[in-house]
Amino acid sequence: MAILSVLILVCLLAMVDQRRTLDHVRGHLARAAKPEAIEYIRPAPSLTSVGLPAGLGEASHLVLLFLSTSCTSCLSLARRVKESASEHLWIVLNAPSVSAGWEWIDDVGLRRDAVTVDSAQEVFRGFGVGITPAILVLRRGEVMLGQTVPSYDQLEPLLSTDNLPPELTEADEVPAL
Amino acid sequence: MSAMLGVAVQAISAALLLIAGAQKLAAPSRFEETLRALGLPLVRSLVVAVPLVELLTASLILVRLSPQIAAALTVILGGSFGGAGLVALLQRKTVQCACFGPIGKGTLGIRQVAAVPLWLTAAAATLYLPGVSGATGVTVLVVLALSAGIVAAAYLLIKLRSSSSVEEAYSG
Repeated sequence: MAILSVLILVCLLAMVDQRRTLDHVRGHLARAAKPEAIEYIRPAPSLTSVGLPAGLGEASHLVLLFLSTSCTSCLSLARRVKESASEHLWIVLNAPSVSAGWEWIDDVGLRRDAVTVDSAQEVFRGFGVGITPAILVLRRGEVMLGQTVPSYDQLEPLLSTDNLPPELTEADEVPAL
Repeated sequence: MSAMLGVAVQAISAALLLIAGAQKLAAPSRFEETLRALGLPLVRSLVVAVPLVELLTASLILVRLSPQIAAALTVILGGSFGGAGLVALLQRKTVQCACFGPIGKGTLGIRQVAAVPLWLTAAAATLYLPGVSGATGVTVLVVLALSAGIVAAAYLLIKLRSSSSVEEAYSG
């Protein structure tokens, strides 16, 4: 009984050590996953000229999220995005075909009414975006920020207007107290 | 009074040795690094032998089959750890302390040397103070091991409840 209890203790402590190592690795990954600025065409084209809905150009804050069906991290990101239900997000999905793109969207569970399947890469080429996952943050049709999205942690703060960095808020907006 | 003191010293000494030995066996890499940093030979053997001696000492302290052997092992362990601290000080090396395996962030040095009197006190208590023995000692050992195990299990459960999947960890 004594030997068994000591063995159990050793096994549990080994699991604790494994867990601590895992947490350490996760922390390292989170720190290592920093967004990088991306190249995009300036001045940005009008949203309707690349096939995006007209109303998006009027949005005071819009996040265009560029994803691809062939990108594994895009899939993970999309699953997290599905839960956010942000009104400021529009997804542009690169897919080999329109049907493949919608199938991907349905599999993930994203809303179809906030997605453009860009199988012809009209939007991607129009903005000059060549990497996924990436975002362009627009204010009334003007691109204010373009960067990669290594993880959902970098995207989440931009999906709400509550805590935007100063460079992304309009000059006449007063931050909420 | 001396019986209570004896039992308390027994339990504390055994608990510390039990946890130290179990931690070293559960996660030996930190202890191995420490041994290599000290330049000791037969590192792979010491990585297993030292924690086993700690566990044996903890058991002997509680069971009291031979208080003399238990006291001798306590002095040897204390002297070894104090000696390791002294070596680190004299060589002016920064060597991670692996007294409790991966737990703790200190370095070897004056603390290990200063702890030698405590080891000697524990050894003397084993020899001269009354305490538990036999089946009661085994029971105390089981209780100590399972109590530490429950703390470890609780830590794991708390961490599991707050964790996300590996995929989410990689995708943020």
